[in-house]
Amino acid sequence: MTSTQHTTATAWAGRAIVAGLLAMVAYAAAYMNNFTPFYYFPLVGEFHWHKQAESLGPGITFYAWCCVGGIAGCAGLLLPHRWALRVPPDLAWLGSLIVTGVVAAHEAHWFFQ
Amino acid sequence: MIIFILLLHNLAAIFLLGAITHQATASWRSGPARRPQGLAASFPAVRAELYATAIVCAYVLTLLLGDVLYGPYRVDVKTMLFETQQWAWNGVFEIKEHVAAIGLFLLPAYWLLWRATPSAQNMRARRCVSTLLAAIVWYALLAGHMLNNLKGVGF
Repeated sequence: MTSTQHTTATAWAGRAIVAGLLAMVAYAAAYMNNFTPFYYFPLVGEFHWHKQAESLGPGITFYAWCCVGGIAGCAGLLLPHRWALRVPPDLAWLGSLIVTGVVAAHEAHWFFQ
Repeated sequence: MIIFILLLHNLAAIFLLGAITHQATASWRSGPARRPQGLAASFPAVRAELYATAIVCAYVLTLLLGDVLYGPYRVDVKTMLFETQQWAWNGVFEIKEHVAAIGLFLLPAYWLLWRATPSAQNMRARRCVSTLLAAIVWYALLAGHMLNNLKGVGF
């Protein structure tokens, strides 16, 4: 691998780390604040922008939260080259671990009902 | 059809579990892969960098199949958990759902870290990212298995 290739690969790794963390934070923020841009109703196989009557059955919000995360993550890919080179690789697992901990703590209430 | 997809989901998850566990343990091994001396020693004696692409493909496939199963799960199993007030089991699934999404968002960084030239700093990141991903996959598989025992999707 040449020096230029190595620098480019490092920059893309940095962008991917930032994109991943942005996606995780946006996903967690969306579900914690019940921000659901669309719903999927599996009983009738329909997507809707808003909650529907109970006759359509239960709605799935997970796909919408994943989309929110994915869109937020795309913003991380725009990180300028020189900034991307400065992203420490350890941020990938450290940030993910923190978000996982926050999510687990947020869901702990299910075990105390 | 749903049972067939469930079986595929299980098989993909088991393949993923084996691959990520091999890679994570191999990444903590010091020195290059050598001829193994026994069963325990041979487990981490693999070239961890070769696993990354297969793991990404298996993770995405497992997640996509899981997404297909989510509809029947939401209608049959989750409704049953709410009706019978089995809140802890619902919590087990909620955490599975969220950590699976976190794992998905971690995948591009994971893949690029394993493809980058090894350095002291990214070797540690590789180890920890693979170990975290392995923990996510272990949790998701065990949680899914237990929930399926509680009430199987498609049955």
